Formats: sequence, C-alpha cells, structure tokens
Amino acid sequence: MRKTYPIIIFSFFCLLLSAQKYDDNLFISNGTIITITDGIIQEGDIIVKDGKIHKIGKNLKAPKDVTVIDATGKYVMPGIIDAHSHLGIDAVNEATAPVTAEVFTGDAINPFDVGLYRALAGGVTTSHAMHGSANAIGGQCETMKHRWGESDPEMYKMEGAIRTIKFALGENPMRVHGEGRNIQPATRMGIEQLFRSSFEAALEYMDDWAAYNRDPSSVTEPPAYNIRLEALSDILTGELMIHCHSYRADEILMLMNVCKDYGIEKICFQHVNEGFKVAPELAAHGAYASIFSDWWAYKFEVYYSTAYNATILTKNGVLTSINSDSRELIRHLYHEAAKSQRYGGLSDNEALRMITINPAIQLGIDDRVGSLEVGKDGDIAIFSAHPLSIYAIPEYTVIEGRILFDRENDPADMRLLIDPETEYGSSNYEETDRSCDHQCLQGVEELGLLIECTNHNH
Amino acid sequence: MKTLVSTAILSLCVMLISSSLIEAQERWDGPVALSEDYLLTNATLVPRPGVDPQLVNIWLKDGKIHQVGPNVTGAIESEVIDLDSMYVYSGFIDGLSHTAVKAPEKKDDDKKERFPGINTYVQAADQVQAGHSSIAKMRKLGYTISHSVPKGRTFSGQGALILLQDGEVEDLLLQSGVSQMAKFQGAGRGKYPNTVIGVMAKWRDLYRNTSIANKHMMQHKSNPGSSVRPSYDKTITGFLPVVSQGQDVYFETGSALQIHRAMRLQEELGFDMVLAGVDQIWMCQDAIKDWNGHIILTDELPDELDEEKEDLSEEESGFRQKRQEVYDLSMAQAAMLEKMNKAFSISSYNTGGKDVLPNIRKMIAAGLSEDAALAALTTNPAQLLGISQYAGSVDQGKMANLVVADKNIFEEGAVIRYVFVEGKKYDYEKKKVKKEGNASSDINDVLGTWEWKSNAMGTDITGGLVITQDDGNLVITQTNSMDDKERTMSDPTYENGVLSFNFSGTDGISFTIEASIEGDQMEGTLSIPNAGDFGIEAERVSKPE
Amino acid sequence: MKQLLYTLFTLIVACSTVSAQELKGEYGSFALTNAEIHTITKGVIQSGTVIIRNGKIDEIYTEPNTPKDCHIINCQGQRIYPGFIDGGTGIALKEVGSVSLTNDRNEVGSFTPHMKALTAVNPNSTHIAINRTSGVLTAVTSPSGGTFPGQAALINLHGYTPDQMYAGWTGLVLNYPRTGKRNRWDQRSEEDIKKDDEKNKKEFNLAWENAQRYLDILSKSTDNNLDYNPEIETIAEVLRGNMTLYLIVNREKEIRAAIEWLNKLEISNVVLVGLSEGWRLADEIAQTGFPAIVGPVLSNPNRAYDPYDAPYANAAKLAEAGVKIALRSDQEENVRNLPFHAGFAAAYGLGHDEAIKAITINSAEILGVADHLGSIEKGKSANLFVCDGDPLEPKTQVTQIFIGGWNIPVSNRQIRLYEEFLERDPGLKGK
Repeated sequence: MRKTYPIIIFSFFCLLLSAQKYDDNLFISNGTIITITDGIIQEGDIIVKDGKIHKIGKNLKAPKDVTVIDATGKYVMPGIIDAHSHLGIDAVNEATAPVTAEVFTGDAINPFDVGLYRALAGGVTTSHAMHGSANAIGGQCETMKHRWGESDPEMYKMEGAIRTIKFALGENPMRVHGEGRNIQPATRMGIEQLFRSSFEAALEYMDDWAAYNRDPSSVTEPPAYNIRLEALSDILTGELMIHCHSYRADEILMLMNVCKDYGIEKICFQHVNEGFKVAPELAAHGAYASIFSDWWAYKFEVYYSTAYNATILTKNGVLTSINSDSRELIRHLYHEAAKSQRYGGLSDNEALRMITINPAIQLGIDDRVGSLEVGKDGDIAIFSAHPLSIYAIPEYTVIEGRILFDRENDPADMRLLIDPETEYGSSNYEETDRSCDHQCLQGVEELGLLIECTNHNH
Repeated sequence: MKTLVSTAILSLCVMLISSSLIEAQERWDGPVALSEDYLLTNATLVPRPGVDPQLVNIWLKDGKIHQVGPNVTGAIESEVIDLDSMYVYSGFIDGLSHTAVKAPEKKDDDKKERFPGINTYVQAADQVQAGHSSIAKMRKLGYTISHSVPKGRTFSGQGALILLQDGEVEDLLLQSGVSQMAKFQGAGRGKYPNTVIGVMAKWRDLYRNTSIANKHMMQHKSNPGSSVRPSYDKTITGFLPVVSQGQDVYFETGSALQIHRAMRLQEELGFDMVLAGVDQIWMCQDAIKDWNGHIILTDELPDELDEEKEDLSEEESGFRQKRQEVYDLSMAQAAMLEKMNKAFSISSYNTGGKDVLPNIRKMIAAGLSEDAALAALTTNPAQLLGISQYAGSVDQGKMANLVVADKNIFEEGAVIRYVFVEGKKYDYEKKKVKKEGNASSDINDVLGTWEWKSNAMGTDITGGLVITQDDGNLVITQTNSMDDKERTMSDPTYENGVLSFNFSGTDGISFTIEASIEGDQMEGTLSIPNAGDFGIEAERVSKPE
Repeated sequence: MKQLLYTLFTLIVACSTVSAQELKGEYGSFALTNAEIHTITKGVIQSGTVIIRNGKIDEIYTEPNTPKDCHIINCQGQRIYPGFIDGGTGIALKEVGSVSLTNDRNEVGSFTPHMKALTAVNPNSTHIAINRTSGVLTAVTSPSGGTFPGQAALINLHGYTPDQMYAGWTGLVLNYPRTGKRNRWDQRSEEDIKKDDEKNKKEFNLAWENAQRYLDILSKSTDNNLDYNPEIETIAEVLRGNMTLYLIVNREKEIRAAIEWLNKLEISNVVLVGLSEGWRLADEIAQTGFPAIVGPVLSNPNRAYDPYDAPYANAAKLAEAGVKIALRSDQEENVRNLPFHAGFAAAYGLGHDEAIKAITINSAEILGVADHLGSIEKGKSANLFVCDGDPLEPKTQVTQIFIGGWNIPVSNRQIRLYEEFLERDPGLKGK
C-alpha cells in the first residue's frame, strides 16, 4: 500500500523549517541519577555537551567554563513527557465536522501560554499537543518541546517526532455531532462505520492518484486534491499514527478490529479507562495505552473505571503512560505516576517509566528523550527528593542542556506576551474555573454545541 | 422647538435623495468651480519623503500636476489659491481599507453556501458605491486613493483601487482584482473552517487544488483533445490570480503568532504576500527582519496607562511597569521597522482612519522620522500598489492628488485645509471642529435637548436634537416639525470633545455631522456628499436631571 | 504485612461470592496493638494500643495490649491516624458528572439557602467506598452554584441513612458574590458583567437586610403575619449564631470586600473557605480572627502573572500569618486525594505535622466537632485508620478503617475490578 503519486511534493511536512535545537553545555554533579533504562547511579554526574548527554557516571570531571548544577542530595531524572496535552495551542477542536483529519495543532502553537512554563516547573519538557475529542477523526497533533522563552512557534516543534492524529470514540463525538448537530455518528455503531467509510474513501483516492500517476493520459482529468483524504491515506500507509481518545472496552476492541482490517499496525489509546478490561487484547495487538492516574465518574463512560488501570495494564504487558490532558495535572505528573504505587504497588521504575520512556515510545521519540542515556537529548528534571515522594519539589528543568526552570531564580510573573491594556487584578483573569476544566472539548462550547458546562469532559 | 424647524431641511433631503441626483450635484457642487484649473501659490511643498520643504507655486490642470516651481504663474483661467505658506503633500494613499465598499444584503441562498467564508471570487469593484459616506470621510483625512477590499471572513475577496472623489462608480474605480484578502478568522459559528487550524488546512487545500486546476487548464488549452474541459469552480477561479499571476495576498496579521503563521503558509505554498494590520512586531523581530515583503502596520495604538496610583504593592507596580514597557514598544513599532530598513505603510484598516494622523504623531514621538512617516502614507503604498508612476509624490505629470495642511502635518494640531483629488478641490476651510485639547469623551457632556441651525447652500435651516444614552451608548434623534417625524441618527460617537453622527437617506447618501462641544455650545460641520461642508451651530436648551 | 494482605484477599474473595454492593462493616471491640499511634494532639506513641469499644476510642495504651474481649488486630510496623476530614467536597451528591439527573448539588436559582445537602446525600453512592480507602473518613459535602446554594453537612463516609452519616455540623454556604469575568470562556460584555455584578450585590445585600428585619419583627412580636419563608429563616439562623456561615471566597478583591462586609455584620460564626488568593492578603485575613478551610491545593494559579506555586504555598502563607487553617480537596469523585493536597501543602512550606493537623484536628475544631473527631483521644469517636507508612505518601497502603467503631473492609468497586481483571479469566484465548 505505497503511495507513488508525486503529490508528495506538496507535503507540508517535508518542508523542514530551521527549528534549531539548543546546544548548551551543562554539568550536573553528585546527584542520585535515575536513568530509567539503566538503573540508578548514586552520587553520579552528567555531562551535557552541545545539548546532548555526553557522559553519565561517577566522579566525572567537570568540563571547563560550563554551567554546573550541584545535585548533592537531589534526584536527577529524564525530563517528563506528557503524551496528552492541549497546552500551548490556540485551537483545540475544529468541531465542525465528524472527520477533520486535515487540521493540525502544529499550526496553532502558542509559545506564550504561561501553562507551558508551569508545566516546565513540574519537570515536563515535552508534551503531545493534541487535537480535541469532538470529532471521531480529529486533527493531526504536534509533539512539542517546552522551549520556554522562544517566540517562534517553530521552535516548539520537536524535530523528528513521528506524525500523529487524534481519533475519538464514544460520548464526545456522539454528543457533539449526533446529539448536537443531529448527524452521524450518534452511536458507537456510527463511529465504527464512519471510520470504515473514511478509510474506503482514502483507498479509492489513493487508487485514483496511483492510476493517474502511472499514466496521466489514461485519465481525462486529474483527480481532485483532497487534503482530508491525503491525511487519511497517510494513516493507511503508516505515516500517521492514531492516538485515540477512548473509554469503554467495546469501543477499544472495535478500533483494534478496524485497524486490523485496514492493515494499520500501531495505535495508542488515550484515556482508555476501561483498558484494564481488555488488557490481554491490547497487549496482543501491541497497542499502547496512555491513561489518567485516577480520574473517573465525570461522565457515564468512565463510571466503571478503576485507579488500578495502570497496574493492570502494565502487568498484562501493555506499554502504558500516564498523561495529564489538563493544565493542572501537567504540573505534577510525577505525582500522578506515584499514585500507581498506591493502586497496585508498581515499582519505582515501573511508575517512572510511565512518564518518561513509555510516552516517548508512544510518540516515537524514544531515540531522543525519555531516559538518561549517552547520546540522548539533555532533557533533565531535578527534584529535591525522590520524584515519587509527595514531598518532592522540582528544582531545575533542563532542555538540551539549557536550564529553563530554576526554582531559586523564578520570578512570579513569567508572561512573555503582555496586552498593554490589561488592568491589574481586573476581569482579564487567566483563571481556570475548575468546574470548566475541559480541555478535550475546548472550543466546542463556542460553537453552541454544548450548553452545559460539566465537571470535565475529557 | 417645532417653531424652529425650517422647511429647508426637508426640501434639502428630498432633493438629494430623489432621482434627480445628478442635476442636484451640478447645481450644488460647492462653490461652483469655473474650471478645474488651480494655481496654488506660496505653498510649502514637501514633494516626497526625504526632500526639504520648498516654497513654490503649483499649477494643477486637467487633473494633473501641470507645473511646480517658484515662478509658476498658471493661466488666465487658473483659480488662484494663496496657501500662505501652508504645507502641501502628495495625497495620502490608503494601503488597505473598506472605503466605499458596501456588501450586498444577505439573501437566504447565502446561508446554503458551499464554502462559507471562502469568497475568493468576490470583487470589491462590484461593491463600490459612489457617494458612500466613507469616501468623503477618508478624503477629509487626507486620503486620495484607497485600496479597498470587501468585508468578510476567511477569504473576503479581491481588492480594488479607488479614487476618493465624488462622481459615478466609473469615475472612482482605478483598478480591480488588485489583491486577495485573507484572515485567520474562521467562517463563523458552526461553519468549517471554524478555527485557525481549519483555516490553515483550508489554505493548503485551496492552494493545491488551484495549482492542479491551473495546470489542467493550461494543458487543456494547448491540447483540448487530450483531456476533458476543466470544470468551472468559482472559488478556484477566484483564487487563480494568486497562484498563477502573483496577485498579492493581503494577510491580516494583528499578532506575532499570526505573522508567524502567515509566513509559514507562504513558505510552504509560495504566494506573494503583504502583511496587513501588523502588530506585536517586537515579539517577532527576527522573523520580520528576514522576510522580504511589504508590511502595513496597524494604525491602532493601545490606550495610555491611567495615572499611577500611590502606594502600589510591589506586585502591582511590577505589573504596571511591564504594561508600560509594552505600551512603549507598541508606540515604537514604526521606528523599529524604519531601523530595519523595511518598506511599510500605515493604512486606515484598523481604526477606520480617524486615528491615523494622531497615532502617527505618537509614533514620531517614539522615534519614527517624519520622512518615514510620510513615506508610509504616500510613496510606500504607491509602490506597494504599483501606482508610483502616477501617484505618491508631487511631481510634474502625476495625478493632482494633494493634501494641504495649515502647518507641518505631523505637528500637533495641524489641520487639513484642502484636499485635491485628480485636480478637484475639496475645501475644509469652514470646518471649525477644534480644541483637540478637550480630551473629554464623557457622554454626559452632550446629553440633553439641543436646537441647531445651519446655513447650507444659502438657506437657513434649523432643527432639534435629542441626545440620550442607553447603556452608555449615545442615542440621537433628530426632530423636525415638517413631517412630525423623529429620525434616529446612526453611528453616534463622542470622543475627545467631538460629537459625530450620520443619517442616511435612501441610495446610501449619508449626511455627516461632526461638531465640537463646549459647555452648552456646539459648533461644527454638516457634510453632504456631492454638495460640500457647511457650518452648523447648536445650543443646549435642557439637560437631563 | 503478609497477614494483612491475606485478610484483604479473603475479604475480596468473600465479596465475589456475596452479591452485596459493599462489604459489611463489623461492629464490636477491637484492640489495635503494636501500632505507632499518631494521636495528633498528644504526640506519637511508638508501640501502643488503641482499644475500640461501643464505637468509641475506649482506651489508649502506650504499650502493646491484648484485652480478652477484643478482636486483636496486630499493627506491627504500622501507624494509626485519626480519620482525615475533608473541609469541602461534593461527595455523595453527584454520581456521574455529565448526567445531570444524577447531580444533586445544584438547585435552580441563586438564592436557595434552605436546600440541605444532607437530604440528597446518597449513602449508597459508589463514591463513598471508593474515596474512604485513602483515610478520608469524614467530609463536608455541600451544594454548589449561585450565591446561596444551600446548607453543607459534615458526614462520615459510612452509614445507611443520611442521619447515620451525619457528623454533627451544618453550615450555610455562601459563595461571596463575584465580580468581573467568571473565567476565560466568559463571553459576557463588560457592560453585562457590570450589570450582573450590581444585580448580584443588590440581591445579596437585600437577603441580609431582610433577614435582619425578619429577626426584628420576630423580636417585637410572635404574633405576626409573616409568610412561610424558609430562605430568610435559614439566613436568620446564621444571624442568631445557630449556624456557621461557610463563606466561599477566592479572589483578592472579593476577599477584601467580604472582610469589610463581615466587619459590619458583626457575626463570629464564620469560616472562610477557598481563599485561593489568600496569600496576597494573609495578614488582613489573620486579623479577622476567622478560621479558614483552604484549597484545593492541587490547582492552577488564578492569574497569568501569579507564581506557579501559589496554590501549593497558599496554606503555609496563611498559617504563617496566624490564620487557623484546615484543607479541602474541593472534589466530588476524588476526595481520596485529600492526603495528597496536604502533602503538597506540606512540601511547599506547611510542614508534615501542620499538614496532617490541617486535615484532622484543625478541621474538627473549625467545624466544632473536636469533641468527637480529629484526634486519637480517649472518648472520641472511633474514626481512625491504620496504614503502613506516612499516609500522605502515595505508596502508603491503608490497611484498616474504622468509622464510628465500625471496622470497614478496605474494599470498593475499584479494588474489586482490580482483583477481577488483573488476571482476567478467560484471558485472551477463551477457556
């Protein structure tokens, strides 16, 4: 199933704008180094050179003229990765159609969102800025590095990350399109058929172009270009990986079956609250899971959840991460991971994998980040205590050797973009009303599709 | 009050609104000119940016600048206007506006649009209205040529070049299909594309489809037998000039992020682009520096910070300081562009023109040179619009578009006295709106019942005005004993001591009243399209309790 | 530890055979021995015994003890804490967030002070068992929405009727009228906001004026023609000093306004709740002398220019200024996270001991129930739990729960799902 038509020249992703990464040097000395993939080094040092981890070990010699962090008594771990976030983008949902595969959150990056800095202050260096869950096939997502301080959105894009696309099952697309607009899908049956008809259309589209490109004279008119079908084709050719908002066991099985039928290999299920019920099937399929630590009951499809989801999935061999989907949770993902120790007693390393190497694998960036290994990016979080302890305070967060958060040197007002007409303490609050903490359906209210503001509509 | 109402006002309305418009115009074209041949003497001329002011005479003839020089004498039929050292500049060119454009009424069919918000095929030229009130309004601000685009959303359509004079549409239109206007604004509630991500996807889809269609059309043209006839698609056809002829896309980019996004689309797709309504340059200086293209800077500036209160908390004073810094940066944006050697214009796009000159004066105070300011109003937009050969500077042979001000126009308090558009004179001598110093915008200044009188076209007219407020918005009704009808005035505003409002007859003829308020006295101008400006005075007879 | 796990397992097995909604508690006499007893008010007993009889803490011994009449629970290597008290939740009032008919928190209207949370507390809500297993055994549950949403009640997370759950405190919830934008999705115009604000303020003042007038009329004569007015009667109860005013206020501006208003009102039965921007005016709050229930700790700062850790450090700053504080999670389904809210407050300045107090004895004192809740003291209600470590640490396991002397199995639907699905049978291949 290879695409052979030269329309690829249009592919806007081949256009690599020169988003440079940082190339800073840093020496971290005498900390407890949690490598994630290669054990713990007590009283260890790390040398970051040109933005990459150059050496890890004991008694390393500090390079000359390099910034030094004395990590004595502190814990050093890889920068935390959030596989599900909506921070730092100006648009979350293009909720005007059940299929909007062509839109791309990378177009809407907003590096001035203070939430990005607040995430850094929680040790998070990379996040997956996802389209929302209003549509069965939502938009393409961007993996961002939180290079706080940059004003060029391109600087946030993580070079080399695989392309991903958001799918959504269950109540959200049913409510927005079925209930809200009286069109399909209004049921989980409708969602399945929407996937199948979309993929069929993409197959036909690919055939048309293949025929045209083989012999343009054989057709009397070039096929129309369709950016939506282009994206769907990319899913079929494996260039675009599905990250699917899902809750119930039946719908999870459904998508795995659809993917099998269309030869789609890799899927990552997001939220997947009932993943624990079909953990053996997920493991057998090789599907990934990216979950909340303990959220439940905010709507019916998450009523039969359990906070032991992480443990059950992990013990059944499903590669699992813990995500935030929230401006608030992203500030303490290390604590969210720690909850898996209360609920099922995962080991320290199992718990920490879920916010480091596992999300890195799910986002296809594990060659760059997710563990402290020589050659990987110098993305590092340093804590005052073991990061799974409730008393742990993130003290430094580093991206590619550059210290972007330093608790000792942390002005209160970190806004980069300021509206000169904002009055102090006036009504222009950046306030998060907790009862409206609904990032996944952000933007949908504005369409008038949802009137009621429920607890959180993830 | 009824006793004060004169019969004249009604007859005036009837005549202007009636179908005998052309006759009316001929009879009442201001002080009727004997010829459109003027000799402006004792002019302090700044012919173009970078040239020192020089004392010259200027002879305008046949709509063109016929001669310029210290000893030019004109012809016997030339009407001599002694400018008495007044400053003369080339007429301003508005790089982007909606002047003279009026969108047609929405029909029910429009609700079923196939691609809402994507109106690439709409032509401003088809929407130009002769006598539209904005023409006189913009001319009064010094503009003589305007690049006008249709109003709308994501793709609002193609722009036209318009000469800001009275007359028929044919007299006004210089060129159509000048540009394609684009915004990141979505197509509206519930419509695709709704968000910025939808808009950018739509851009890619439309651009690539148009490229393919263009290729197909060319192939079909060279060898009709080889393929089917390309089907007609108005959206694609409307976009074709951008793809195949290098038509400029004017991209509304009022923030650093929008600037980045527009640049990204341009880099991917490769169209010619003008950044319009540009703001937050300080947040994207590198991107601007490396970009080759024309910039139309926003004409809108933030409000000044209110007076500092005493004993602020450390937090609040820090907050205030940050606001002040950004305020200063906003003021200094134009100077920033000048320093980068960027060609840029300042249009009326964001404020509708009324703040352009006052704001440019603030930009000058923040470091912009007067030469660059003048260039932003004349030579730069002329170059952008490809009309430098006949507009943008005061040179022999160019179109007789001039602005005459009582002193250096960038000086505080300078007032425009004449504007010439293709040799036709528009006289603002009678204009008595004054007191820029009275900065009050408190609508309580104007509330109450007023009696007014005016002498328009040699006739004394009187009338009554009742000014009230609704939720802080002015409501003005004009009463008139002739027909015992109340008319509600539109667009009432009271800013900086100046009250203004319009009222429209049919056919889009709009009367504009603009007057300064001092206590219970009002003094100003009644502007009537195709007729001229007339003095108006009023006195308040009662105030609300 | 192993033994405990064993008991736990047998209980769970029992569950799968019994079709009960939740496992039954056991009432009787218990001796929790060999335990590290954190009394909160009287220090830590290293290896002592707590005797539970008749629903109360009957004895506390500073050494191991195994009275014959007691069911002995060996707590070797474990700790005993008084049950945590959450100072503000919506627990048992809402079952499924997005299904409005399962939501009993929000009555229609912004002036419904006579609505009683206790009426709608669902004793069989799955939320109760799911949340108490973290040691939160008592919680304020309150109506929400509008200025006077109703009356909050303190409930124990065990019982088959609301009355059995009631823990002895009722308060009138007042959301101090907010001004300005509600949040960043608030699309009202500046004008409308102003109008709404003024209207709210007017109504608010009128309510209190009427309540005062109502009392004046009653004091003059009992023989009057006053209509049935439960709303005003409820507010009058606050003015009489019979009911606590549970005053929720968060932003600086509104906190200031509320303090000014309270000074004029001259009532003392007030607890300030929320105070997310309290750190901005901690001293002024301290001067009022009113106690505070602060939180949620795990939340975002209000303003874009706030320090990122403002909500974490808020409790510590208020305590430092001299405010007596307790904490709330402000949760409905995740009240179980209260210990983690306390843990974050502890890490960001409050310290471990004060943080524990803020979810035990301080809450009890602020709510006026310290006579029977909030610490391990002889004579108090047997509301306590046993755990294998610091109860604020996520990895710590709660092993025993007692509420009112009932030994409640550490089980709930989420735990049972874990047991059922950890090794699902049939697994992948069917039988």
